[in-house]
Amino acid sequence: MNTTLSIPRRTLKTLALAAAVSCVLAACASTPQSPEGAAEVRSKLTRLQSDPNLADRAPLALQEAETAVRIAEEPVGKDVALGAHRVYFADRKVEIAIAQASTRYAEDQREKLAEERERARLAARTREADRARADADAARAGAADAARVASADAARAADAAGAAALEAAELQRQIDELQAKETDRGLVLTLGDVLFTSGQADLKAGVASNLGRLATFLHQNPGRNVEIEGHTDSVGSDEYNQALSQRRADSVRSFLIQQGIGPERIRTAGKGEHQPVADNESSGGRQQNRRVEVIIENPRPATASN
Amino acid sequence: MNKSSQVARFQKPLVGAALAGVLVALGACASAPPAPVSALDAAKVAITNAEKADANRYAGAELGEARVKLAQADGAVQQEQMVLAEQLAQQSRVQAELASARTRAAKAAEVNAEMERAAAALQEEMQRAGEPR
Repeated sequence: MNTTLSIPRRTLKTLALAAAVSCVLAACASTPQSPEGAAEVRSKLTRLQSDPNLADRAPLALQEAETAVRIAEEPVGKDVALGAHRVYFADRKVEIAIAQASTRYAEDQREKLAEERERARLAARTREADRARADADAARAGAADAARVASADAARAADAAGAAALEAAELQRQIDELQAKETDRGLVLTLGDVLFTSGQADLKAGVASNLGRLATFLHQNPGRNVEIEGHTDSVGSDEYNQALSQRRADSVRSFLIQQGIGPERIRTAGKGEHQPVADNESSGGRQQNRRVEVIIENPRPATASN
Repeated sequence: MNKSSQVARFQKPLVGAALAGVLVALGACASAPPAPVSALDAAKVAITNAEKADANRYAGAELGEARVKLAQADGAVQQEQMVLAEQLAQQSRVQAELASARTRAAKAAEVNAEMERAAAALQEEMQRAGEPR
């Protein structure tokens, strides 16, 4: 009985006391007020608690701040200094919680930053590997290219060799066609006296085909110059034969120039009767001596006539 | 510090006032109330810790205010305003603790900024290296 009654009695006492205090307070002020500034601190704390980045990052400091703010919110009556002190204290506690949460947030971010950097490094390594692979591929391709180039060069060289061979064969064919003789001075083409009537320097009609082949040959071998030497038999004066041989050589030259061969490529010389190839006693020998020799010089370096 | 001691500290003024009242009631011969030594010591320790944490550099204003509060607390002790002295000592302490906390936060932010700079530089380097040569 005693024990059961004791509690309600104490409660009653407390209630009575509270009622009395309330009456006193009511007499002083209509409603109990929190100290000035407490509301601002409370809202600052609320902002911290609702900040998703900070709310969970400093639980102990936040709890202390909460306690301090609650104390600061208690009415202090006329003790303005105490109220201000509590508000100041609570404000600093909230600020400390913010600072601690920010610190923790930065530390957490750091892990993320490190992860990001690691990802970036990995990406870089991947890129490097890719690039190395690409370089290797390029090198291989380059080697293949080089091989292709080499084989192409070889092919070209073979072509060139083939072409040279072909050219040589062609030249030989041309030479054969010209019925020229190969000598130290070059190819010597002897145009018999069939070209000329005795005592005349004008080319006979129908010789165009023979000289035409010479012109064609000179066109096809622009590196070769020609020297045209006129020769006569021993009939007539030496002086006359000299002039006649020169005119015959010049006649051939004119023909070649007409065919489009550059005049600078053609030299002429009248040798007269002094270089016979046969004796002048017989008619046949004399006919052999009446001739024009076209010396087709070997390709550059062109040797000047002596 | 734990919560209960914090609460107890808040209640100290009341307890102190009660004690003072008791002392006054006990006799007129009673001398001035005792200085809030532990609160003052706690403030000094907090300031020293903040200084060690390099708060001069990162939270100079906060540290300065903590020092001012401590000086004001000492001044209150001189004037035997022990309740005020204890409040000022507590303010000095909490302000010094805030200086330390803000110093740590500033240092952490500094480290992050450095990391971000390095990461950006790395990124840039990679992009440059990735360009066709």
